[in-house]
This record gives sequence, structure tokens and C-alpha cells, in this order.
Amino acid sequence: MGICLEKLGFTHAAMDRLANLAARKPNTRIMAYTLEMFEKISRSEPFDYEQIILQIVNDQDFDFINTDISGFVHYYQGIQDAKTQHADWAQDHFSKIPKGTYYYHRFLHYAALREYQQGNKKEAIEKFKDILLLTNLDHKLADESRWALARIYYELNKWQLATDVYHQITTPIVEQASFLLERAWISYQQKDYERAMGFLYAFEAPSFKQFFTPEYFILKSFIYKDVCHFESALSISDEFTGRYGKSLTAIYDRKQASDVQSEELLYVILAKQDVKDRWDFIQALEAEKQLISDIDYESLAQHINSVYSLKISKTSKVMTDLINNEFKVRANLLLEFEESANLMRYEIGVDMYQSVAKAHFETKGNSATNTDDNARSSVVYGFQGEYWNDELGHLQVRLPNKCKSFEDWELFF
Amino acid sequence: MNIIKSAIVCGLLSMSTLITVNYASAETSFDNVNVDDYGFEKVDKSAEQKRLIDKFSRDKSQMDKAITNTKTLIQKSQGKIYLPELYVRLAELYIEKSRIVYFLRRTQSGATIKSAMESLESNALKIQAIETYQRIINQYPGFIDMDKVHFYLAHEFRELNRLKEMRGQYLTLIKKFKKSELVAESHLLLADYYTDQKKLNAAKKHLKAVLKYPNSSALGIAQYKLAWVHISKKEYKQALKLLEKSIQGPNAGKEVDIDSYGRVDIRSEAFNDMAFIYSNHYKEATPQEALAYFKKYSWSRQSYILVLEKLAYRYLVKKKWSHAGLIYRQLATLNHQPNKLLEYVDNIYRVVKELKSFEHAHEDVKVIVKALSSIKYSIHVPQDVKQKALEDYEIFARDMTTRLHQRAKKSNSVKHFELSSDAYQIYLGFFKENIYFDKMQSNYAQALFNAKRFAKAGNVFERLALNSEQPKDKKRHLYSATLSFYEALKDRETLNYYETVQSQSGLAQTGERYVSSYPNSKEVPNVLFNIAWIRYDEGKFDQSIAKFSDFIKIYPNSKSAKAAVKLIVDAYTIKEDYPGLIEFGKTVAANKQLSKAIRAGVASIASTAQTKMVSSMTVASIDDWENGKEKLMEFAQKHQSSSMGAQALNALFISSKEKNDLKTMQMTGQNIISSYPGSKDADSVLKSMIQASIATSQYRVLASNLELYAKQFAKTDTTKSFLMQAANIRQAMNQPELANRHYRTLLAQFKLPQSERLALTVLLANNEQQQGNVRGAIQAFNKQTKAFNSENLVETHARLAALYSEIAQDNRANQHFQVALKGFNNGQGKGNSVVQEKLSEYLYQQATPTLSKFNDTQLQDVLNQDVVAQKTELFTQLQTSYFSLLDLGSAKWSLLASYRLYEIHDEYAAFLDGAPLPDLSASEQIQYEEIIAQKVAEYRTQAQEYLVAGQQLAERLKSFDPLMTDYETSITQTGQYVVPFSEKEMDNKITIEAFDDVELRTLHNRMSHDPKDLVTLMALAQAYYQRGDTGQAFVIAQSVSDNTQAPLDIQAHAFNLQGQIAIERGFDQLARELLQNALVKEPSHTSAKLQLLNLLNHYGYAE
Repeated sequence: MGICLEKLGFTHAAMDRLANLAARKPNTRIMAYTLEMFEKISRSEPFDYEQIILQIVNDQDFDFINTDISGFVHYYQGIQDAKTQHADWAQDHFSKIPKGTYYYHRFLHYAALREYQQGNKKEAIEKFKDILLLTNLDHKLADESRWALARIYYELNKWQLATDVYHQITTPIVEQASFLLERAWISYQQKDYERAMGFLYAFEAPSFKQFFTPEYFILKSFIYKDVCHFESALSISDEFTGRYGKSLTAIYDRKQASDVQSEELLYVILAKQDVKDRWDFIQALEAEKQLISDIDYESLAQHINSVYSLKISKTSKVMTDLINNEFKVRANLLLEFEESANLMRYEIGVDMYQSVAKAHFETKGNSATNTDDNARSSVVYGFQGEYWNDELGHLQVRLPNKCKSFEDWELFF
Repeated sequence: MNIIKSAIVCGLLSMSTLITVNYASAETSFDNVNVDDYGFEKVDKSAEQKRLIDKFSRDKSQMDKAITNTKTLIQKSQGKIYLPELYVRLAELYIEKSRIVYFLRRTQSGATIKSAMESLESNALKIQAIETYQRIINQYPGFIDMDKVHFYLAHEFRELNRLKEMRGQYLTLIKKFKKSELVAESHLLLADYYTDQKKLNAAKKHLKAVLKYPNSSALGIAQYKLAWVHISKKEYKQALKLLEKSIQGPNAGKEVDIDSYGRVDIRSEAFNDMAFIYSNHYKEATPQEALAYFKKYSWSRQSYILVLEKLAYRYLVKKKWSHAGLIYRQLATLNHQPNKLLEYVDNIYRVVKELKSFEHAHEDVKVIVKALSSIKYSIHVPQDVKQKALEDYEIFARDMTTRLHQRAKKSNSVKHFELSSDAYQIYLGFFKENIYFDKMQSNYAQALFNAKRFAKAGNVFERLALNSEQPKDKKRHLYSATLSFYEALKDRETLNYYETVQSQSGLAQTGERYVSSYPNSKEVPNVLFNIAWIRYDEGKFDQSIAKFSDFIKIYPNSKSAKAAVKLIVDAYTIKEDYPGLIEFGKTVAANKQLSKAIRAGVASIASTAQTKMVSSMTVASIDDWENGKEKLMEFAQKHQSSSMGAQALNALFISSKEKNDLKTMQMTGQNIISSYPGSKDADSVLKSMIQASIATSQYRVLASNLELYAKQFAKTDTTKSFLMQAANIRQAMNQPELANRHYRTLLAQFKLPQSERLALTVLLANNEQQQGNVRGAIQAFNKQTKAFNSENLVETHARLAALYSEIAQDNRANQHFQVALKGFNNGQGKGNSVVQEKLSEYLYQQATPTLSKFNDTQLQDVLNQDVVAQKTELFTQLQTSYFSLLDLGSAKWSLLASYRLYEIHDEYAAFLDGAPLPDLSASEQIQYEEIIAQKVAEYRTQAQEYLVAGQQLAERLKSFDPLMTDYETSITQTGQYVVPFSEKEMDNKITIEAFDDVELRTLHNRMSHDPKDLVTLMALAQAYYQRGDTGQAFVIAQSVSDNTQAPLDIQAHAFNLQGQIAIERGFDQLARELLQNALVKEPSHTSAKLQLLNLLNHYGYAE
């Protein structure tokens, strides 16, 4: 039945049926087939992690399994053991993952991350570099490793290395949203303000809407402030309020994640990986559920309908709980950012004052050189309307430093 | 593709069809079997039986052929070295055939119960095998694999239950083939044999023998079995050691294939048995120690789960409840299987009931929910089972949760309430449709509150209030919600941003709802206060002020009124809304229901606010003075007669001083003094004004300021000094009436030294006299007579004598003269030129009538002796008077006395010369005439001498008083008004408006910046002079000429200007002196020279 359900497109119902069967410890062939199916689907589609991985894959010994799926089983069992602080068992499982397989590579990735989590950044870097040298590395995993490596370089203030690694990431542009911000931070740290602004500007594209974070505004303000575009910096602070004002009002009015006023924040929450996984799973369940109408056999249709309804109910509940918890986290973060925005306004004011003093102090001798900069006092985005350029980092943003041309904005002081 | 078709193809709908899985085919090839890709075979039972029979028949047939072939080969191989091996192969074929035959007979019979018949053929074949092995033993004793032959033989004996023969073979093997790898297994199998015989010592002996073969696959089993031997003897320690070794040996975890054992996982068996032994051996071990022990020997989570399950159950059996409970809880963290979890829960529930301890209820409820979550959403659990599970375990969960809560209440421990609230949260998160939900939620809210998780408690109470149907509950919950949010905010540091906002808004929302729903509740004031407070806390100060203000209006006598007032004040202060704060201060002041202390406090703060308000305006004026100044002025005007207005003016004053806006400063200062005479700043303001006017050399303003100060602060030393200076300036500016006003004040109100008092009186009197008010002058002196000492009295009397004399009050004049003269004669006033002059003047004036009478006394045609005598008497009197006057040494009066002496001598000489002759004889007449002529000549000589002396003195004095010039001029001027040289009317008086004049302002400002800039000072004097303010010009010039450090040319310039002004005032004598001074300082000063020349010319001095 499980096999047929899968063939009919009821992937989840098939997994549910086979998971139930697997829990009853069937013969090795059934178990092997089931595990193969689980492995295949787990790599390509949303699924019920608790049912498949925790209850089936993790809770049983599968000494009979073959090389092809032993990696899958040992990887997840190892991960679960590691998560529950059973390091020696975890290591035993990891040691049994066949070398050169996808799961072995994932284990290597995990091991590198574990080094990083334990504070061994150098070792982590070496491990990630080794992973990236592997010939048959999965593309997605390779990008994940690059991403992690770039972040470690970033933490170590090795901007150029981080940038180089970011350049190697092959994930399509729309999926890069979450690290555009990181690249912008790198450019900012390198004082390459124009490039940082380029990344941020690209980030404004509608496709990235769900990836928006308040941090974007803070960074943008930082950049403008650092080049003394105080008017723009202040306007960013207003922009933040404009964008999240409704959400902030909703928070102050004690609205919940499900209220329409919290919509903007909900977009952000839905982009969170665990929430997204559940959301994708519900979508998949709903899509498969649609197929039930094609089944003429009523009892079967009812049976499958129940399977999906129950699963949707469960996943919805889990997702709702996650969203509600995440809403609190994000709302707290947003309020924190609101405070940061206020502080930013203050800092901009202070910088303006200090700049005035400094500019007055330095004026006369440099007046000739200042003139040129002043002529370009407005920010020019050379790439306007060209969000989808492959070379985001090379987008032309002219952001002249106005720290020595106080006349232009003195009126704001 | 139609799905239904596909389903049929897969056999999905053939549910009635028997689907069996060919377990027996695990070792069977699928080559000839019609199996699909997944290894499943759909068969009919009879067909399957037939298939198996066919298969076993084929196998048997093939086996027969093999046996035949082997036998044939044996026959052909007699004497060959490998013959024993062929026999071994033959024996194995018998055994194989025996197995096939057995299955064939079993399959053919189809029975489930074995019968002896089925085994008959099979056993016969085994016997054939035995015989074959025995043949090898007998015929080929040197066969290299003889140990194996004995081993296989023993095996077949066991199969046929010929155990003694089996034992014999094993013993033979052990004895004869000590190095055989089969020795250990043989010992093991012998141990089994003795065990079955219940000969444990023998069994133990053989098991121990196995231990000598550490690399044997039998080792683990031997250890395991030996352990059980110890167990049977209750030797748990030894047993445990052996089991520990068993699961850690070199072959641990590997499947062993030992005869009669099949494939056994001895490690798992041993490990699970350790649970039994551990609980018996380590009776005092804690559950934590037990967990650690088994964790150490576990090789995977699954093995750990299995052993813990056994251990937990063991403890359960032994009624070691807490041990069992803890291990089941540990199991719940490891396992995810719902059925297992529920099994654990059952046992945990049993444990907690036995222990009557619910401290882990939060964990236990979590396990229940974890298990039920899987069941609830599983299609594989029948609905009735599911429902029952949900109902049953809800009861478990509720019971444990509420009992935990009860315990918390009993202990009143925050920690316990925390655990309790955790349990409630888990319960409520799952059992949402339960009828106890509301009650449990109510408990949850209370637990949260007692756990000091106030923000959460507030939310839950609020939900309860919304859902409660009972009005009483609704009210109670709503108030609890408000209270919870309030409590949350009291400990702000424990809240994050979100919780803070939630609590703030929660308090406001629930509070407002409470107040509107239950306006008469006694809690309303408290709630209203907190609503207002929370707005304050959120930084919504306007709302906070409004709400607190309402609160104060409604509950002015409440305990919180003071706090409300304070928070309003704080809100205004933070907003820097000082006008608002001041207005609020007025409101508070007007609210008599508020305590005096509150009103006084707010008044004080409002006062400070006024200061801050003014300060902010002052600060603003720093950047934009003109606008800022205007605003401050407007503000001061708007708040006239209030302290705020005073502060504004004061700020304006200080700022204008800082900004050097002297006009504003002076005007503001005057405004302060006039509008706020009692202001504490008046003194400093006035002093600053004075200082500024000094610095800028604005003497008219200075005089006004000094006068203002004197008016403001009477009878202080400073006032005296300031008044004196004001008088001096007024005097110098030729404003005698103003100067006199100050002199009078000084004389009347201050204790002055004699000399000073006299000087002031003199100045006063002189001014009065100058203005033609001789009586005023007399009055001035008369007022001071009692205050003077004898020395000064002489002068005063002398002056009074002169003054009275001037107004022809001779008696009084004489009285004063006599007193003065007496004093003078007694040595008082000697050297005092004024006394001398005044006495002289008096004497001179007193002599004037006598002089007239003397001149009028003339003889007619006859010599009247009486007339002569009278004339002579008058002559003598006059001489005496004038001589007395000359003795006093006053220049003027000496000069005039000389002239008068000349006149009287000349007159007397003429009188004598023209007198008729008496009736005498001629000789007597001649003699008389000679004598008279002689006398006349003598008098005329004396007269000439007096004239010359007077002329000489006049020449020396060069006085501009015509009386004091040459005699001829002197007598012509007597009693006539003397026309000054060039008197002009110039009485412009420029004060503060000087700052409207660009030049004057510039010069004053320049002086302000550099008060020692004498060039500018002179330019200023000149400027004032040009604008007709000669008084100011004179004083400024005087300040220069008085400066001995000033360059001579500038001094000369100053003297010259002063001289010029003196001329214009008609003070020609003073002018001459000043011009002369100018020329002393700069002899070539053209203007001074020219002016002096003209002046002298005017008075007839040619040179």
C-alpha cells in the first residue's frame, strides 16, 4: 500500500504507511526499501521529521542495511546522539558512514561546524576547506560549506578571504538573500561603502521581501553616517519606522502573529528555516490532498483524507507554536532595533555636530579639493532598475564622502 | 493515468488475497521465483506447498546423486591420502540430505505438530553420517582433521539425543586435540550438557575452561553462561564482572556461529541480563549511578534503551519507586515511539502515586503530551483507542499537574510554582478541548503569578477574564491581569523588550477595561493610577499627564495623589514642558484638597521650571541674539510682575551683558529695578549696570545708575559712596540741583566725617547761592551747625555771616560774624582761607554803609566840629575795618580793602583840604593850614600807597572779576552784572539713547572693550560735546585730565575741552585755569592758546 501510494503521488501517505510498518520491524527487504524511500524523499521534499527520522530512523538498529542507505541511517542517528549529548555513540555512527557518500560529506560539514561551535575556528576553516576540495560534493552542501567558511572568515576580520568565498557560492541569486546582508557587512567593514550600499540596494528587490530584517536599516544608516550623508542617514531611520511602524504598532497594541497588523513581521518569521520547513510541508500535504478527489473508492479516499487532515492538523499546530514563539523573539528584536534606530538618530546628531566642528577646523586649506566632492553631493545609484545583475558586488553606487563638506547639511544641525 | 487502475495493478484493492512474506526464503535464491522488484511474492498456499515439495524433492534427488557420486569416488580412491576427506564429505551429504528430507516430510504432511514419522528418514540419514564419521576415526586415526570429525560426530549424537556418546566425543576431542580450535566450543557444549544435567559444578568447570581461550568465539557465551552459574548461586559480583567482560570482549557485538547456538547476539543478551544483576548487587546505588553505569557499557542508544527498560522494570518490581521513576523519565527522553512513551508514563504514574511525589510532574506531563501528540494525529490508532488514551492520560496529566501545584502551595516555594506553571503550560498546550481547560487555566495563571512570572500571568488572567461567563470571575480575573502586569513592570530588569511592551500595554488595556466595567470597585483608584503610571512608564507623557491629572481631580485625598503629582511633574520635566509644568503648578496650588506639602512641593518645582524655561530661552538667544532677545522681552512683558518675568529680565540682563548689548543691558536693568524693586538680583544688576557704564565712560548713565542704586539701597556704605559719586558727576555736569539733592541726602542720612560734611554743605550752599538762592545756602549751613566741631563752626559762621550779610540780615550776619571772629581770634580757622575770606567779606560788607556815610559826611560852608569829628570817627572806623580785613589775608577782599583805603584816605585828605578855616588868627590860620596841608599830603600819600598796593595785587591776581581789576575798572563795575566771555545754552542730556547713535555706540563699545583707550575716550568726549551734551563731555574729559598717566598731549586736549566747556558755562575763571593747564601740559596747544587769549582779552588782559 505504501508503495502504491507513493506511485499514485501520495508521498506523505506512503511515508506514513511505511513508517507505521517499519515501526513494527518488518523483514529486511521491506525495511531496506522503506529506508531507501525515506532517504530519497528526505533529500528532495518536505517531510515529517519527527515521524520519519526520530521515530523510525533513530529508534531502531539497522545492522542489516546496505551501504547505500547506511550513510543515511548512521548520519541521522549520529546527529540525534550528538544532539542529546551522547558523543561516543554519535561518533560510532559517524564512523560507520561509508566514505565518499553524500552523508559522509554531510558528516564532514557537521564536524567542521562542530569545531566552530567549540571555538576551534582554525580547525573549522581547515575542515571546510578540505570539504570544498572533494570532487563529488553535492552543490547545495558545497554552498553551505562556503557560506559557513565565509562567515568564519568574516568573524576573523579576513574580509577579502570571506569575499572570495562568497564569490564561489553558486546558489541562485534569489536564494542568496540571506547572505547579501552579510556581504554588505563585509564591504562595510572594509570601508567599501559603495559596494556595501550596492548589496543593500539589491536587497530591496521585491523577491527578497520575506528576507527583510531590521538589521538592513541599521547597516544602511551606518554607511550613510560614516560618509556623512546625515540627511540620508536620518531618512533611513524614518524608513525603518515607515516599514515596521505598522508591526511596531501591532506589538504595542498586543496583536498576535495571526493578526493582519502583524503581516510584515509574519513574512520575516515564515522565512525562518524551521517554520519554513513546516510551511513547505503543509503546502505539500495540501497539494497531495487535492489528488484524493481522483480516487473513486470512497473508503480509500476517506482513509487517505484522514491521513492528510491529521497530518496537516499536527503540522499546523507545531508551526503555529513555532510562529508564536518566533513572533515573540522577532517582536523583541524589532523593539530592540527600534531602540537602536533611536540611538542611531542620536548618534547621527552627535556625528553631525562633531563633523561640523572638524570641518570648521580643517576648512580653509582644503577648500579647493572639497569643491569636487560637493559637486556630487547626491547619491547616485548607477544600477537603478538592474537588480538582477549577476555581479551585485560590482554594482555602481556613487557615495561620495561628504565629511569635509559640512555646508551642505549644516542646515540640519 | 487513472489512479484506480494503477491501484488495481498493484493489488492494493485485493485485500482479501493472502499476502505472505517468504521468511524461509532468506537463504533461498529468487532466481526461479516470480518475485517483483521489492521481493514480495504473491502465492496461493497450496501452490506454495507444492512448489516447496517440488523444490525439496529436486534437492533430495540432487543430494542422492551427490552421495552416489561420492561413494563411487570413495570406491575408486581406496588407499588415497584424501580418502578420509571424501568420507567427511559423504557424512556431510548425509546430514544435508537429512535436513532436506526433514523439510520435505514436514511440507508434505502440512501438519503444524511434528511427528516421529516425519523424522524417521531424517534420523536414519544422520545415523549413516555417524557411521561414516566413526569409520574415519577407526580407519584413519592419523587424519589431519580428526578433531573436526569428533566435533561433527558429537553434534550428530546430540541431534539424535545420544548425549552420553556426544559427551564422549567432546571429551576425546578435548583430551586428544588440545590445540584444536574446537576445544573451547567443546567445553562450552559440554557445559551445556552438564547444565542440562543440573550438574552445575561440572558445567562451571567446562565454562571456566573456555575462559582459557580468549580468542575463541565461545568466550563471550562462556562468560555469559558462567555468569548465570554465579547468578544461580547468587554470586552477583562475579556474575556482573563476567557479563561486563562478555560485552566488552574482542568478539563482542559480532554474531557467533557456534554449534547448537545458531547466530546469537550474546552481547545484547548479556547486557540486558546485567540489569537484573545490577539491581541485585548494587542495592544502594542511586538511580543516577545506575544510569551512569549502563551508559558506560551501552554501545548505542538502542542498547541503552533496552537495558534501561529492563532496569526500570526491575526497580518497579522491587518497589524502588524513585529509581524506576527517574529511569523511565530518562527513557522518555531517548525514545520517540508513542506506545513506548505511554508505557513509560503508565509506570511513571504508578511511581508517583506510590511515592506521593509530583515534583517531576512537569517532565511527566511533557512525556504524556509527547506520546499523545503522536497518537492523536495518527491514522494507525483506532479512534476508540485514541479517544480512550486521550481521556485516560488527560486524567494522569491533570492529576499530576494539580498535585504539583498543591505541593507548591504547601511549600510556597517560587521554584515549585515555576515547575507547576511549566506543567500547566504543557497540559494546556495539548488538552485544549477538555472540560477542565478553564479551571486548569485558572490554576495556571495563579501558578504563574506565584512563580513571579507576572507578564505571562497577566496574559493568562486576561484570557480567563475574556472567556469567563461568571461576572464575578470575570471581574476577579481582569483585576488579577492588571495586577500581574503591574507586578511584572516592577521588576523591569527581568523583562525583555517584548515582555515589557506586553506588560505595559496589557496593564493599560486590562486596567481601562476594568475601570469601565466596574467603575464602583474599590480597586478602581489603584487601577486608574497604574494606567496613568504605565503611560508614564512607556514614555507617553501627554497621556500620562492627562490620566494622572484626572486621577488627582477624582482622588485628591488618596495615598497615591502625591505620587501622581510627582509623576506629572516628572513627565513635564522630562518633556521640558515648563509652561505646562507651571500651569500644572497653578492647578495644584488651586486645589485645596491636596495637602499643603504637595502644593508647596509643586510650587517649588514650578519655580525651578520657570528658571529652566527662562534658561532655555536664554540658551536659544545665544545663537540668535536679536530673536532671542525679543522673545525674552516678550516673555518678560507677558509675565510681568511674576517671578518668571523677573527671571526673564534677569536672564536678558545677563545675556545682554555677555553679548555687550549695553543698551539692552541698561534698559533691562532699569526695568528690573523698576518692576521688581524687591528682586534679590537688584543689587548685582545695579552694580553691573554701574560697572558697565563706567567701563564705557557713559557718565550720565552712570550717574543715573548710581542714583538708582542709592534709591534702591538706602543707608549702606556702598550707597553713600555711590551717591557721592553721583553728586560729583552731577556737579561736574553742571547739574547743581541734582547734585544738591544728593548732598542733602548724604548730609541727612549718613554719618560723615567733619571735613566731608562741611565740604558737602559748602557745595550744597554754593550751588544754592549760584542759583540765586542765598536763603537755601543759609539753610544748608544752619542745618549742619550742630553737627560741626568748633573748627568747622568758625567757617560755617563766617559763611553764614557773609550770606546773611548778602541778604541784608545784618543782625544775624553780625551774630555769626562775631561768633566766627571770636573763634578765629581764638585760633580756630587760622589758615582757613574760606574763614578768612568770609570774615573779610563780611567786614568789607559791613564797612560799606560806613563808607557811604563817610563819603556823605561833608562840611558845608562852616567848619562844623561835629561833622569833622564824625568824619574823622568814620575814617577811623573804616580804617579799622579795612585794616582788620587786611589782616585776614583774603586776596580779593584785601584788594578791595586797599582800594577802599585809598578812597577813604583820599576822601579824608580832600575833606581836610576843603574844610573851611576855623576862626583863628592868621598865624594860627597859617599854622593851621600848614598842619592841614601836611596832614592832607600825608593822607594822600597813604592813599596812593593803598592804591598802588591794590593795583599791584590786582595785577598779580589777574582776576576775571571786574572788581578785582585795576581801580578804574573796579569802581565802574561795582554793583553791575559781569558778562561772561562766551556763555552758551547747551543743555543736551544724552543718556541711554547714545546707543542709537552709531558713532557714540561705536565709541562706547570700543571703550567697553578697552577702558584704557584714552584716544577713544577723548573722541567720545568730543562727540558728546558736538552733540551739545557738554556735561557728559566735560566729565569724560575730566576723567582724562585727571589721569596722570595719560600722555601730555591727550591731557592737554582734555583740559582744553574742559576749558572750552567752562567758557560756555560762563565759568571763565575756571576756563582760564583749565586752559592754562592745557598749555602747561602742551605749551604749543593752539586751541588752548587761542581760547585763553580771547578770554583774557575779554577781561581786558592784553597779553
